[in-house]
Amino acid sequence: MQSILYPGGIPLWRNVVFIQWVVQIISAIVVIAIVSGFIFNVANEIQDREIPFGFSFLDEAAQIPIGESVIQYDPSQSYLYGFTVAALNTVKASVLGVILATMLGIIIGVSRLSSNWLLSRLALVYIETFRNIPLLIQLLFWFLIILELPNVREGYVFFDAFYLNNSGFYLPWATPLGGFWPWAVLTVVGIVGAVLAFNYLQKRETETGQPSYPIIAGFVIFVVVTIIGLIIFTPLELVIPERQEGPFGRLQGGARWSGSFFALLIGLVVYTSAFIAEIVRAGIQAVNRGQTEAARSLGLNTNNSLRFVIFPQALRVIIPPLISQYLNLTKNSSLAAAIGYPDLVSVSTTMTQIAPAISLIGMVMVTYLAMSLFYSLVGNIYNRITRYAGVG
Amino acid sequence: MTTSLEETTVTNPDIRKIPLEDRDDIIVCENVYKWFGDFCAVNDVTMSVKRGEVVVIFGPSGSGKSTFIRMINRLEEHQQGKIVVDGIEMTNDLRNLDAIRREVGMVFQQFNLFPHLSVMSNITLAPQRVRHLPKAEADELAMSLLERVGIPEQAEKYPAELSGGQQQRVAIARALAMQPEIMLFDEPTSALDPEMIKEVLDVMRELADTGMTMLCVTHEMGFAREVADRMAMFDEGQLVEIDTPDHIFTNPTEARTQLFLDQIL
Repeated sequence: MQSILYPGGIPLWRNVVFIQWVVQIISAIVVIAIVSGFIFNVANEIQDREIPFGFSFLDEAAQIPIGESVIQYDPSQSYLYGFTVAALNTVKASVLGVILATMLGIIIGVSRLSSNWLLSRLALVYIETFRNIPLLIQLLFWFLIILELPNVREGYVFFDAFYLNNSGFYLPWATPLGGFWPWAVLTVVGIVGAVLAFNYLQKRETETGQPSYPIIAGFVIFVVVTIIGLIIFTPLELVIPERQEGPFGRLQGGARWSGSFFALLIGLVVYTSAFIAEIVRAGIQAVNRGQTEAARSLGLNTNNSLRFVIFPQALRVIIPPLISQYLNLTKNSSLAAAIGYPDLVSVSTTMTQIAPAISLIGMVMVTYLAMSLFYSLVGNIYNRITRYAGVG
Repeated sequence: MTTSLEETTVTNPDIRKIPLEDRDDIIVCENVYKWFGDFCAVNDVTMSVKRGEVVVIFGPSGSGKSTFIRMINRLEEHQQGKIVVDGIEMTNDLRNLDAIRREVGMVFQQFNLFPHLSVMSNITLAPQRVRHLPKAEADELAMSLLERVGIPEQAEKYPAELSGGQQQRVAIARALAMQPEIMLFDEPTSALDPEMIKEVLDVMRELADTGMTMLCVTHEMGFAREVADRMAMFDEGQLVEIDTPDHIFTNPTEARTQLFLDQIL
């Protein structure tokens, strides 16, 4: 382009495109210099000061005890296996925590919006209490309460099946029997049948306008098939904890959640549910009041207006911050180390007494990153499915 | 293919030929009150609307005119007095409320289209879920309504992709899809750019010709003069006066009406 002042064109120092390129190149050089300097330094230090580094230790026997595990473990097994056991402990706390916190959070969030004054105030007090006290303090609080419970012999019993005492929480658990696999196959068939019925009835409802109850039908099919399978194959045995004879009154059978796991779970669920409750409330309130009015003026009943108008819009607002809370819960579970639950962090820290710390910390970081990215991925897929034109 | 509005509405255009005094009352309000806290939003309003009549409600902002028409389909609850819509009394009985809402369509100032649904689905949702129309029939109804309001080519778009005037026309089509006897308009053109007001008013004008009973809160005095059978002036929650456009514009009974008209005209 010709310019009057500079017949040759725009001078370089005023050329916007040129300036942008220069800034890009300079910042790229700076970033590369810092990162490579850092890597070079670390590599040098590791060599010079003979800091142990590497992953050959992973095959060696770990020789450390892990208090509880999802899969069988004994200290003669390798570091890698021990690390996996610890990671699974973290996954167990995270997944259970996410499920329970979501359910509790939705209940409290909806209560917060209730027209019932008492319910809404109680929800407010719950939210403001639990989201404003540091999680570490809450974990210690729940843990201390469990430590102060009566012992196994004198602890609390609910419905003759659940036992709560200072050694943890005992609950009924199902163990698989010979008929498990045929039953599992039949259940999968039931799920497929339920989905097919749901799709068919949903389609029928839209095509013909006749109410066809797809949700109820799908659910009934699934439940009936599963129960028939239970009767034919006897796949599972429900083991209820029972008190042994003898002076100590030990409990046997079922599952035991240790005091530290139970405290961790309560702490994470209560803390996170307070945040989720606020997210749910915000999501529902974010849907314009006019939407409810429009639905109502068209004659849609409450049920249909929630199902077709309010929820689809509220969920779009709720899902991204909700996923972010799932990530927080997973990462916060690393505070388990403070109350003696053998999670990823606490086990890896113990391992560093012998194994190279840098390698282990790296593995821990990558593991958390992988878990978090998994949750993010699920959330992003959901968002992509529910995106609609012209908005966001 | 053109469909006339008559085919998609249940009202009878011939009713416009019968003199007002010979028609039956479709909406009756007797001594209706509504308070928001200490503030009396609607203060002892008594008025009735004839079948097929077009009533324009006007008045200063905060005069209770919106609150009043929102009571006709119970978006606001009246706290005292009696409202009867097409023979059904407005009570707390859910069955009565559902029946009234099926007969009364409403168009809002802010359109209130469902942003997550296509134009087509916006219109077919209620016919399918409330009137249990088969999808094919609901789609056909929606298409003919869209043709009537002049935007059939926008059927698969989403509300955010349309102009304000187009959105409001979709909102009118959506309300008509329930085949109401009565249409309420709550300032339907107030949120529109000037060049889009006409396209919405044109649709409303045609709708009036089909014999639809219409209650319009609007400041469009040209529309009122041309289309309204009667005009109702609201101020401070009260119905100041209700009369034919001729009277209101040339010789209003109340000084307050004259004052307000002087301010806006």
